[in-house]
Amino acid sequence: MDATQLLKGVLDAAVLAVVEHEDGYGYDVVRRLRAAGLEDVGDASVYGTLRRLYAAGALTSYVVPSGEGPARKYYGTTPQGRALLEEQRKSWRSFAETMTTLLEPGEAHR
Amino acid sequence: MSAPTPETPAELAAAREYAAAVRSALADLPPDVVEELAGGLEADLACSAAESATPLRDRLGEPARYAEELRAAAGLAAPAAGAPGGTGGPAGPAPARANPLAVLRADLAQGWAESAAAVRAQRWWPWASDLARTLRPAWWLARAWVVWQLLFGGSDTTSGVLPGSLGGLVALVALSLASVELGRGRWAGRTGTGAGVTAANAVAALALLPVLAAAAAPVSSVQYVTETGTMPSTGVWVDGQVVSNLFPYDAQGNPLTGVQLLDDYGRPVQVGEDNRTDWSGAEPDPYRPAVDAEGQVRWNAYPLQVGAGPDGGGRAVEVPRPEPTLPALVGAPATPSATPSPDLVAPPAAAPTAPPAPEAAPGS
Repeated sequence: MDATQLLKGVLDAAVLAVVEHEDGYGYDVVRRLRAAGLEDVGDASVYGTLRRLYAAGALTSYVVPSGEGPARKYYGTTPQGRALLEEQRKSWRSFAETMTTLLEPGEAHR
Repeated sequence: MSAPTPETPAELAAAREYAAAVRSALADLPPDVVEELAGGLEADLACSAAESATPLRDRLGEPARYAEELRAAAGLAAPAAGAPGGTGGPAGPAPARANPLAVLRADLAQGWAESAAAVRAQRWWPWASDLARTLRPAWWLARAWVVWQLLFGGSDTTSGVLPGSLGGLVALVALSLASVELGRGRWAGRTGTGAGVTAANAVAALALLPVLAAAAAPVSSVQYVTETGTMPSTGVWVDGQVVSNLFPYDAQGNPLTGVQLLDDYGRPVQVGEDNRTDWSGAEPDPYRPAVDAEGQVRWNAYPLQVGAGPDGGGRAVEVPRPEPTLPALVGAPATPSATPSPDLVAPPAAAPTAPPAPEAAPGS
């Protein structure tokens, strides 16, 4: 199965998780996700997700000027974002358990 | 952990070029949404470019595809114009099976989004939205005041605008604080606040003008107005009151009766309001006119007399005077006389003649 299809549903949780403890700018977030194992994640998908989570109030955003280069836009979590992440953690665990059981070879499901 | 790598000018240029192409693919969106989506993109792309020698286009694909992915991930609809099978196209899910209410809602949402985009595209929009943002605290206070007026305004005002009691003041301050905290987003995220705030804002906006009008009106609805303009100002007035009788005295201060008075135009001076016609029927006019030798009724002979009978009928008698006599005037002739001597008659300028024709008016 195409991992990018699976990723779509959980990208919000993944993005929230990598900025939970340390603020990051767009490409930084992409890099963290890839380093965590999500190699196929698309830059634009991550940036779009960051903008959407920001618009929804789950992320804060601030611009940091960088020398002579273009300014970087950093993102960090809000209390609302942390609550959302906690919620998604729970639903992911229950979903993952269900799927693991379901996909177990043998007699796990009738 | 990830210290930003310094980019070379070439990488920066490549990032700028790619970002510009992405922005132009988003050009159908309002400028501030484009900025929201693509803000900081140059820096991120430059970072990405610095990591690998592969050109950005090869790594990230066509900018248009990239823009589409960005847009979709941000939860925005695909561009309406030029999108094959887009709005209303046959490729979409069969519209006939859709819930008509949902279709209507989607249509409304799209219409709203399109009008909002058209407004945002105006040149004055950044100025106006910035102004509105600046004025938001004023609105927070105004809506608190409107809510307070709606809750307590009827019972607790002295001036109609501000609270008249300590309790009212406390309520107003509490509402203002709540409104400002709400406005600053302190309570965002609690379930139900969004819809509640929208509803309260709508109520406050609708009620603002009526409440203002009601509060600006005086607390007491009874007003005493001197309507001099609408009342007939006939008769003789002293200190704003209609005179009902006059009591002449001669130079020695002795009371006179039957004194006929004319004004400077020679018109009879007549007291009382309404030409001596009893139209009210409530209280018959007690006064009786004098009659001259030619049989003319004279209302300008003072003091006016009243009828002796219980209903004002019968023989005419004099009414009691406010003062029986007055001190004599300095330089007055010693002999009292009821009829003025010819040398005391008023000067010719004020001679009692017929009312003057315009060309005879003095000084014209």
